[in-house]
Order: sequence, then structure tokens, then C-alpha cells
Amino acid sequence: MLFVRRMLHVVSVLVPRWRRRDWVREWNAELDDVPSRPGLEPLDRGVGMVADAMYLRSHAMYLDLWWGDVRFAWRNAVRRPGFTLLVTLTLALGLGVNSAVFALVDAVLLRPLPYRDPSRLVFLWHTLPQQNMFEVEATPFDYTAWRDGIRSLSDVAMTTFGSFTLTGGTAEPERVRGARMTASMMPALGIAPAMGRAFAPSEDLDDVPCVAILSDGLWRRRFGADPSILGRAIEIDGSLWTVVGVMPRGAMLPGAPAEGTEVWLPMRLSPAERASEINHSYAMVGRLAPGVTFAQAAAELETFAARMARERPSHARIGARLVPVEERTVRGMRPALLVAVASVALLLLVAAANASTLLMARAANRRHELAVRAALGATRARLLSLSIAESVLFASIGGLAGLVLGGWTLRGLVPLFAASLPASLAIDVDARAALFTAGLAIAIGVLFGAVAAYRPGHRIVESLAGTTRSTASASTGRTRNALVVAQVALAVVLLSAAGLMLNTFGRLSRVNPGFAADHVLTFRVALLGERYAAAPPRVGFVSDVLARMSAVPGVRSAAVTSVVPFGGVRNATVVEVEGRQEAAGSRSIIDQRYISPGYFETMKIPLVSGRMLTDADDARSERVTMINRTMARQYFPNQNPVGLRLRVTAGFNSGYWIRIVGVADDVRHIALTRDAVAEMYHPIAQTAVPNFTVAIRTAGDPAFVVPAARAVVRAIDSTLPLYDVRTMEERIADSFSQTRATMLLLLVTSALAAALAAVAIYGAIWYSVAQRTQEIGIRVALGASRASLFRGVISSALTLAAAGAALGAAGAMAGGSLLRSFLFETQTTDPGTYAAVFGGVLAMTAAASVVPAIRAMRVDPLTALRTT
Amino acid sequence: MRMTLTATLVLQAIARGHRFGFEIVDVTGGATGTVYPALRRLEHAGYVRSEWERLQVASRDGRPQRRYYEITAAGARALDGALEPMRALHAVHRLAPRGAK
Repeated sequence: MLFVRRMLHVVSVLVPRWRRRDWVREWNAELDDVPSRPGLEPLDRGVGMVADAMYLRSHAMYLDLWWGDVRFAWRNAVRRPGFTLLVTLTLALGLGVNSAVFALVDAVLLRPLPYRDPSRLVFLWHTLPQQNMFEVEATPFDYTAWRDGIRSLSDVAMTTFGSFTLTGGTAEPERVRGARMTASMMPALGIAPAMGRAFAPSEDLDDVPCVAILSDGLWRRRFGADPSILGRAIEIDGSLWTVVGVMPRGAMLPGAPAEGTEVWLPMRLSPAERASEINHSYAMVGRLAPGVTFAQAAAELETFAARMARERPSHARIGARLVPVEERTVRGMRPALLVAVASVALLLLVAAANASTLLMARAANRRHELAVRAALGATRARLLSLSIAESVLFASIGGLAGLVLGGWTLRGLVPLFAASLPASLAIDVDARAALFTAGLAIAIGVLFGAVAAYRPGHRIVESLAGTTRSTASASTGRTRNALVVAQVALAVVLLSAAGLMLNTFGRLSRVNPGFAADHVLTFRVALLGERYAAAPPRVGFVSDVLARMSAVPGVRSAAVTSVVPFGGVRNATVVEVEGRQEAAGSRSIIDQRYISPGYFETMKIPLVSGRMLTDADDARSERVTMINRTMARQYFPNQNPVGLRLRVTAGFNSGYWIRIVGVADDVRHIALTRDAVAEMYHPIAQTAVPNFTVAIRTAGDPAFVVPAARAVVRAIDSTLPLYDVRTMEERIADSFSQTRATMLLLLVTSALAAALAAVAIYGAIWYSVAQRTQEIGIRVALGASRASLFRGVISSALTLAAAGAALGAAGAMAGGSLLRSFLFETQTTDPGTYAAVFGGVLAMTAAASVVPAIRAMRVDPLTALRTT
Repeated sequence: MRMTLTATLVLQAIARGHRFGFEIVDVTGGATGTVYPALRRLEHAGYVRSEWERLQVASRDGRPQRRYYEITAAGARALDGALEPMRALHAVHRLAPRGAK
């Protein structure tokens, strides 16, 4: 036994140092154990001890070997800093843009909405199938009916979004986004104030004191994060509301506009409003009852709506439908994000292929070293492990640099999509994005390490003898050419997509919206509170503000409109023409605007027939309106509409006849891509609406007029804020901001991909010329002309590029459906775009191969022949 | 890791509460030269974990501290998977030959 104990110290040398002490301690105890089995003699124990130590040694060696590979790769990387920089930068580029787009996609699409069990939340919409409208807001009557009548929903809540004016205190008056909601809203969503209380059901009606809940952002910004805010009275739209709560950071209502919800108010309906069957201005949110599927709930809602349509005249021809909240919230961004993901993924592939080519080129230079390793007994697995250790090292450094690059990219990317991103969303290159990038880097590293190590038919002896030019390099050349073709193909996919978007963007920019958008400043004003309860002070405000604005130096003219083009609002109604019998249900939707007489002049909208509105069209004169060309064509196809009368059949201005006095030309109101809809322009002096946009035509830069405009409004009423201050050109640009963002992203990624492909072409051609020096020397010796050598090199490069371009074009056309929703008057097969991309790629290829071609031309036959 | 017969035996012994090196060798009846490496492999795979015996217990019994092994949840799952074919084999093994009473 003593012998075995002595042996323990000798054998322990085999055990890796870091666990040696532990191991000796364990075996000391083992040897001390009294055997119950006679067979367990000291010798047997000694065998176990040695076997244990050997196993631990071999395990450690395996790790050591791998660690050795990494250290070897690191030394190699440090020894050639230029090469290392090139490879890591290429990979950092690809990984960086991917980490940025991942952060964006993660925040918008992957993270669950901030509600309890968000997949169970649904919107309930009315539908008007005959008018092709499938997301019509419902009425308070429906809220009660659905809440009490639909068993497959455990909660139903109602909300309506709006803008509110905050006044009082020392701060400037401010217009903020907000919503009124039933007390059932927060429990339905599973959210609650971070401080204070939620709304009580009694606050759904208007006979209790006014209370309000603030968003975290508003509380911090306007109230300095005052901890004693609860119970304080604040001024909203001119009356006092008691603050009862503050929402947590990032809280939002489903379907809220991108600016978010800053003030959360109770519904406060009067009993009459509560029973309204016609006021379609409320969004409904529900939660599926436990155990109920979406399809079951949807079916129950549809059956319920069909019964309502039969029983209640107010609901005739109105259907209903259920939409998952998750689908609706991300729907707007999904196509743009899919294109973004696809484009950066392609760029990463190009970068990885590029890094592979670079590593292969170096592996070719290290052929001798690798052959020596193989000759000394390194297996294929060992060589592969070495190659992968090297490429994973490069990819890891590239990934780290990529994270920094990704942070920068994201800072440029988020503002591009700002118009469609909820303001409360936190988008950052965070731990999840880092994890994603790390995973991607390792995957890419393993992949291209394996590609770079791939050397079919590689022969050790020839490599050692240095005579391997013929076989091994031919196959390496083929792999390299395949990589170049792949890179060109991927770059062509991106370039074609960018070209199509550029085309669309050009066409959009050339669309005539029907008015002159240059030199026009617009801002909105809302006249609320007791002071503007009646029409005369509203009319007075309008004429006052227009008179004062027109007097500002640099202002050519000023006008107001209730609905400005590209303002995101339509204000549609239903009309009836005098003396015309129309079948119920065929009545059509017409958008109406209330304007001051100078509106057409300010916007430069031409008159088609009849007369313009004038100052004489006021509350005392006959009710008049102007219609647009589309309405004249649709409703009075064989008739001069001027002089005819019509009336609105629903809403606050229904019930009286309005005479058409003129026809104005069409204006695109909703989007540049959408044709004009039927419109009516009523004089604001006859129906004084309290919300409107002021449009000002200026002589110079419209932005210079903003301070003057603020001063004018403040001089008339210091409690009114200006909001949504934008030039008309900005409004139009914002209307296709996603298209622009997608185009810019594609332009950047495709330019990078093209640059990488050009480098790859240059490298491949240079390498092939270097490999063929001897052959070229023989050709020259046999009398080949320099020009033919030059042409030969260029044409071999062009062949590679053409193959890549053809593959890429096929890929681009196949993937074109991803882009279709962005394209405007541009086919995914647009021949002009593809011709331009082809031309560009071939020109780039020719340029990239000029230097190698000149080198081929200058090969000296004597030197070339002598060196082998 | 691949569950060899030795590994399965060792894991089963630990699962039954035999927690100490030679005790395991003892009950499995295996050669010491195979049991220890199997124990190490199980430890690397996360199927067993080890801890030192409390010093008071060891000094009370007047011997050096032992290193005790115990099975982890992953180990229990792996053991179950490895025993599955053996149970099937056992069932067939118990069948009487055809025609016998």
C-alpha cells in the first residue's frame, strides 16, 4: 500500500496542474477506503489511478491542441497586420450592418408587445364591405353590445385617440397626443400606472370629477418628475383635471399613433353619447376568453354583427371583424424590415465570400507549410481545425468591430424609419444584439474556415516539391472563381433592388400632387375651451390670424384648411344630390374640407369651372361649396355641376342644401401613389370647425417664417400652441419615408457589396495572372501580341462577371416580390434597371482587371521561363 | 456523450446512492481502469457532479475527506434513455421458450 501511495505522487505529474492538488486529495481518500471485496487489492487501485490520470491528461491535451491553434492563428494575424485588417474590416462591415438591423427587427418584430399575454389581444372593427372599408371604428352602442353579448371575449375596452392642449404653469402651452379610454382598458391589456391608480368604471361617464393619468415622458418633461404630482390639478384643453396616476416608461395603447400616448384620460361620455349608434369614432380592443381560439371568437363576432345588421337600422350593411393586435402593430413596418434583413444578409454573404477568397489566397501562399504539417502526420481534421481556428479568430475580431459599427449604423437607421416607429420603443445594440452578432460571427467563421481549407486533390509531395502548380492550383482557382461569381451575383441582386427603388423614388418625386408644394409652411391650431365654444369667435380667430399672417414680411398669402394634403386625415361623409333618387347603399363617400377663400390661391390649385369661394360666402349668405374634378366626373358625368345643390346626410352639418359654385382641379391628398378622391371644399366662415391647418406661401425659405407665425398666434391667444409645424415639402417627403429609408439602405448595402465584389474580381484576376506567368511567358515567346494578352485577361474577367450578373439578375427577379409593395409605376422586371446594373457591373469588372491585365502584358518571357 | 455499458453502470450505481470512487467500483464489479475514466466523462458531460465531504464527518470517522459524486437532472434523463433498450431486452429475456409450459 505504501508503494501505491508513493506512486500517487509520481502519477500526479500526468494530471493537469490546475487540478493536481484536488486529484491527489481525492485519491488519498480512495486509497484509505477499506475494501469489502477481496479483489480490490493495491495493484488494482494503482491501475485505476493511472487510468484516471491518463484520461485527464488526454482531455487536457485536446483542449491544449485547440488553444494552440488559436494562439498560432493569433500570432499569424499579428504578423500580417495589413491582411488581418482587411479581413476583419470586411467581416466587421457585414456583421455590423446585420447587428444594427437585428436590433431594429428585434425591437419591432421579435419582442412581445408590452402587455400581458399579447397574443390573446384583438381589435374589433366594423366593416363596410360594399364600400371596401374593413377597419371602420365602432360606436359606444357597440361597445356595450359587444361587451355584454360576446362570450368568447373576456374583456372589451374602448378608446379614442386625440390631441390635447396643456396650459398653465410657467411652461409654454403644448399640444400633446393622448387618448380617452374606458376603465376596462388597462385591465384588458394587463398594464397599470407605475404610480397612483387606474381609472374607475364610474369615470366612463361624465358626472364625476375630471381625472387624468400622465405618461412617464410627459411627467418628466413638463412636470420635472415631481413626486407629489398625484392630486395636483393640471389644465387640459382649458379645464382642470386632477392627476391620479403616472404610467410606467414605455407604456402605450395598441394602435396609438407613433408619437405615443402622453395623456391618458377616462372616457367621460354623457349618457346620450354612451347610447350613440352612429358615432363611429371609437377603437375597440378585446381579449380572447381562456380556452377560446381566435377563429371561434371571430365567428361569434361575425354572427353577432349579422344579427345587429338585421335588427338595427343604424347597423344595416355593417359587418364586423377581429384582427390580432400583434399583426396590426407591426404590419406597417414588416415589408420594409424584411427588405432590410434580406439586404444586410446578402451583404454579409458577400463579405464572408470575400474573406474566404482572401484566406484562400493566403492558404495558397502557405501551401508549403501546410504540406509540411501533413507530412509530419497532421490529419485532415487537424488542418481543418487550424483553418477554422484562424477564421473564427478573424470573425470574432470582425464581430467586435461590427458591434461598434452596428451602433453607428443604428444611429443612422432609426431616424430613417422614425415616422413608423413608436416613440416609446427602445432600440439599441444591446446584449441580445451582441449575442446574435457573436453567434453569426462564429457560424460565419466556421463556414468560411471550412471553405478556405477545402483543397480537393491536394497532394503533399508535389506541394513539398513546389511543383503543384498544375493540379491543386487549378481546383483552388475553380473554387475561387465560384466565390467571385457568387459575390458578383449577390451584388447584382442588391444593385437591381436599389435600382428599382431609385426608379420608384424618381417617379414619386416627379408626381404632380396638384398643387405647388414649394415655399409653403403649414402648422395646426386647435381652438378648444369655453372661449371658442360658439362659431363667431372661431371665425373671428381665423380672419384675425390670416390678416396678421399676411402682414408678416416674406409672406405672400395665407389660408386655412380643416384637412391639409398629406396630413393623414380624410374626413369623409355621405352626400345626396337634389332631385336625384339613389338606391340606399350606393351612396358614396366624399371627403370634405373647410377652407378660407384664399386656399386655392395659396396652394396654387387651378379653377376648372364656375367661381372660387370669396369672403362674401359667410354665415349670412347661401351655403355654397366647391367640388373637385374627380367628384364632377364621378357624380355629374354628363352634366355641369355648377349651380346644382347637394346635402350631407350624416354628421353635424347635415340637413341643409349646399350649392355647388365651382370646380377645382384634383389634388392628391393621401399619398403620391393614390389618385385624387372625390372632394368638397366648404367655406370655413359657414361652418366654423375648431381644428384646422394654416398654410402660408412664403417668398423665401418657409422655415424663416416659423417664429413670426408663433408670435402671431401668441398675440391673439397665448394659450394656443402651434403644432405639427412642417413645410408642405416635408409633409410629402414624410408620406413616403419608408420607401426612402428602404431605398437608402439598399443603396448603401449594394454599393458596399459592389465594392467588395470589385476587390474580389481584382484579387482573382491578379492571382490567375500570377499563376499563369509561365504560360504567358511561353505565349509571348511564341509570338502572342501584348494586346491579345491584355484582351484575354479582361475577357476572362468579363466572363466571370457576366456569369455572376446573369445569376444575380435571375435571383433579383425571383426575389422581386419582396419589393413589390414599395414599387410605384416600376415593374420588378424593369429592363432599364437591369441594363444599367449589367452595364455598371461589366464596367466595374473591366476597371478592376486593368491593372492585372497590364501586368500580364509586361511579363518578360525570359524571366518567366527561367523562374521555373 | 455516448452512453457505453460502463458509463451506464457507473451512472446507475451513483443514482442508487453509491457515491464514492471505490464503492462504485465495488458495486459495479468493473475494472478500476475503466470505471474512473467513465466517471470523468460523466462529469465533463454534466451528468454527475461532485463535492467534498464535510470535514467534521471525515474527522469523526478518522479518515481523509472523500469526494462524493451525485447524479444531475441531465444525468437522470441520460440514464433513463440508456436503460430503455436494456429493459426491453430484459422483458424478452424473461420469455419462456416457445412450446414450454
